[in-house]
Amino acid sequence: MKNLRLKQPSVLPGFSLTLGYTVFYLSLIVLLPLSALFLRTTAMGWEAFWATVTDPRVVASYRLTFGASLVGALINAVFGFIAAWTLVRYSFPGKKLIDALIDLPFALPTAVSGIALTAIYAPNGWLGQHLEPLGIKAAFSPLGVTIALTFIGLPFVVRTLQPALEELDPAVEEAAASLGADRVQTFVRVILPALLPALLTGFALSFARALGEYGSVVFISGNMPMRTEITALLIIAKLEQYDYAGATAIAVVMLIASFTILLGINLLQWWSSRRLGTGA
Amino acid sequence: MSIEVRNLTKTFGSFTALHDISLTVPDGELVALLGPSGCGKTTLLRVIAGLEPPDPGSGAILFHNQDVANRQVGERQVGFVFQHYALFRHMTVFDNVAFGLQVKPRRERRPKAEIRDRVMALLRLVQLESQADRFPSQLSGGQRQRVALARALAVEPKVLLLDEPFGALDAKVRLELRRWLRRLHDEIHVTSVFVTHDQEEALEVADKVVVMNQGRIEQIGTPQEIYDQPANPFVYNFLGSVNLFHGRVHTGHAHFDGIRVDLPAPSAADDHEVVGYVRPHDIEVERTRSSVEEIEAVIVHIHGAGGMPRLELERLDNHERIEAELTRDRFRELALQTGERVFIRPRNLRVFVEGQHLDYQI
Amino acid sequence: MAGSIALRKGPKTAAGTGAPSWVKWPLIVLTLGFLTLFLFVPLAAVFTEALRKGVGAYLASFSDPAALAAIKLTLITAAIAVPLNLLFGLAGAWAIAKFNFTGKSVLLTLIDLPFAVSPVISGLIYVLLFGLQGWLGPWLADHDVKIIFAVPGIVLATIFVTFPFVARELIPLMQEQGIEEEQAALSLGASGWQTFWRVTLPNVKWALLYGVILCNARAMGEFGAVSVVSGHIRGKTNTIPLRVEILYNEYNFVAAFAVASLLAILALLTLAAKSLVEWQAQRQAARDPE
Repeated sequence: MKNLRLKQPSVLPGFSLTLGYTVFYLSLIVLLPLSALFLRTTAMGWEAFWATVTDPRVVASYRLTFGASLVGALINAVFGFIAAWTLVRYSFPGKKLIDALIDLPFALPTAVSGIALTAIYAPNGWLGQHLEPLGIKAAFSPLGVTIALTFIGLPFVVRTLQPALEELDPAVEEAAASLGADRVQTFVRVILPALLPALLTGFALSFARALGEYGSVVFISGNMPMRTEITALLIIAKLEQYDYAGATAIAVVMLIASFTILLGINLLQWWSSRRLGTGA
Repeated sequence: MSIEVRNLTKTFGSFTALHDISLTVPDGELVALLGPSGCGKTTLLRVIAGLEPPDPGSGAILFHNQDVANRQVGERQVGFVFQHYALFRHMTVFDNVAFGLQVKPRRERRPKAEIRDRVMALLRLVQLESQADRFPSQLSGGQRQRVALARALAVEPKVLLLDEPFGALDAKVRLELRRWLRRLHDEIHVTSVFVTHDQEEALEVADKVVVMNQGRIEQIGTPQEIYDQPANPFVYNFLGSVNLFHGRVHTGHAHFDGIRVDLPAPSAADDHEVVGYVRPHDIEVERTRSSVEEIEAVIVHIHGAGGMPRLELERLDNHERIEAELTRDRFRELALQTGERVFIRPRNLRVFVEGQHLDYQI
Repeated sequence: MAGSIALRKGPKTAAGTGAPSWVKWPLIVLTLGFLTLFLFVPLAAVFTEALRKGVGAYLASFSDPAALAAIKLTLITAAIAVPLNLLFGLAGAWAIAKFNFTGKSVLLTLIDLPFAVSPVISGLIYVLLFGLQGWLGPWLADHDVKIIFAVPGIVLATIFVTFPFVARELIPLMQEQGIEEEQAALSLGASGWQTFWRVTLPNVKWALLYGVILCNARAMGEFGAVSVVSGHIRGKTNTIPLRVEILYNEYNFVAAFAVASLLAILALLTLAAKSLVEWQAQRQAARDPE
């Protein structure tokens, strides 16, 4: 942070004041508390740390969290792509309204999404009562967790793909057609590669968001140990037993996973901006 | 108010934008900073304005013999017109022009009615009275340019600085606006400096032209001096099309293929390679040979349109290309055809050896 | 970021390569089906469940003192967190967008950090700092200052979660707008403050407004982080989302959904505001061809 200084003097005033305040506030609210988390783990000792984070119940929660997040992000990648395509390329009645509502999962408080999804998929719920006779248990099962994580990750793929789709020059498709490519070839060989960085970014954002999610999942998951407990919930469970060290250890594992994905997204955007000359 | 720049240097990282620049702009003059892009002309203008600081400890900038180095841009009483105008997009034309008057400290601020009168007078001056309530985006490029000018003039600057004032306009508007700027300057007589990369613009509008290249001043002079007596090949090249004749100095003469130029004094450049520069309109074209000092060439192309018809020629001896311009009368009189052989003779050949000017012959 | 303002252009299809209708309509139907299932049904569920026992029962849910206390605490929290993050957003955007300095990209990444942190962990870090077993816990207990399981903790966690919102809306726009207008203002004699208030701020007002709306929506709706630091003291440290959880776990479904419907309305208003702001930004862009 000491190296933050102007590359060129500027006539605009207020640099030291605003940058100073920015760094101060950032340190106070974000950096200091986050570093507390990591320092706490170092005090814990490697053995205890390892024992906590590899406890079978915790490992089961990783499996559920990562698995359901991955499936949710994949569903979003497929349907988000279709939705973005439809919203950019076609016009149909109600399009504006739907476009505006895409951000709902982002704007709706997670607790509200949580109870709403539970009300729909519970065995006596709107959809749950029709799924139950088919032998499908949606709520209080890993499927329920996946549904919730799909819901909250939905806007990310659509919103990263939309600008990329809009920027796609129609002349490129016309060029492909004029060179004799049919629609499928044009899509697979011209359109899809151009959209891939945006699609991957949207997928990664959706996945990252799902990993840390808590509110929309706790109601629908049923929170059965070893079966439907997500990792975020385990942190709270440890805290409620005043096991701060345990909660911290699990949190560090999750945080490292999130930061790795964040780093991956940054690398992806850097790569695509170098390759395509535009940000994903 | 006069402007004086002394030994100014400005670097950006490892790139030196201005090398030890010294320049004086007398009170009331309109001066052009002319040069190719990247030559430092805009940087010089911005340093004068106070928008960029010069390198610490380098040189001085004096307005009316007073050092302004420690004065902020707002305290220098300069009017700056930005290349892309930098109009406040959320304000009407009126508010843009009034801005400088409205932000004055309370005790210096004029009453509202007075500000209003002054703004309307300025809008009349730039012929935009009827557009006062429009937003910048609703104006044409030329209109925006005039708003920017009115806004800069509103604060009664002692110095007016314009960065590529006509750069973003189309050819016809450019022409109109630069003549208008000249007339305006004759009316208000504020010391003005403008940056341009268009030699025609500089020569037509300015009292004095400063030619810059790679962070240095190549020549300062009136348009006539700059055009007729370029100080070096760069200035020669930059001010218009030019034909090159390669030759050698020998016993007081410069010899080019077929042409001999007398040098006034025995020169230190003896036995050096020299280059002669000739403008296309200084190439005389004849159908028949009238002296031995004429070069035979063939007409490759004729550009007959325009005020000065142009010939593209190829020398028969060394196959170099020559461009010649004729008056319309002469062009009609000769009635030339593509492929015809002609004889050409340069007038006003300026001779330079390794960039140093030697002399010229009429 | 899923929430940022984007300028939308109209549908753009290459002439002569437009999709045949047997491709177009199935895709539209598929999209509508997917979005109905994941957007409209949950939204409808909130209001239907809330009104299941009639309007009377719905309205009665709000007269409960605990519900009123939760609404009050939510408003207080937002009233503190939003202005603080607004101030930070303005300062950060000014420094980052208007100046060139080394370490800028690192700073930008750090500002985004709270987006990558799970809400539960956002709460946990403050427990570790200020909780009884935390670094400052004993000192705070000695001086009788309560942060965790009290209002200050809720406010702190909310500030953390909503930290980047205003800054993220402002920075790209201000970078795009450059500094020429500010330089023009300064050359006309305006002071730094005058330049900021009269030139910079009006140029970013829509993005600023949207950032504030988004920040506010998240501040009022945050659940995970607040849940960790609140300690659930009834009527004292419950925000609206926490109240929803309590009512739901007590099987008081109508009241839970009634309180939740308040948050759903807030979310819908946020989306409406977003559309409005986008429309305004588009209008401004149409006026500004450069």
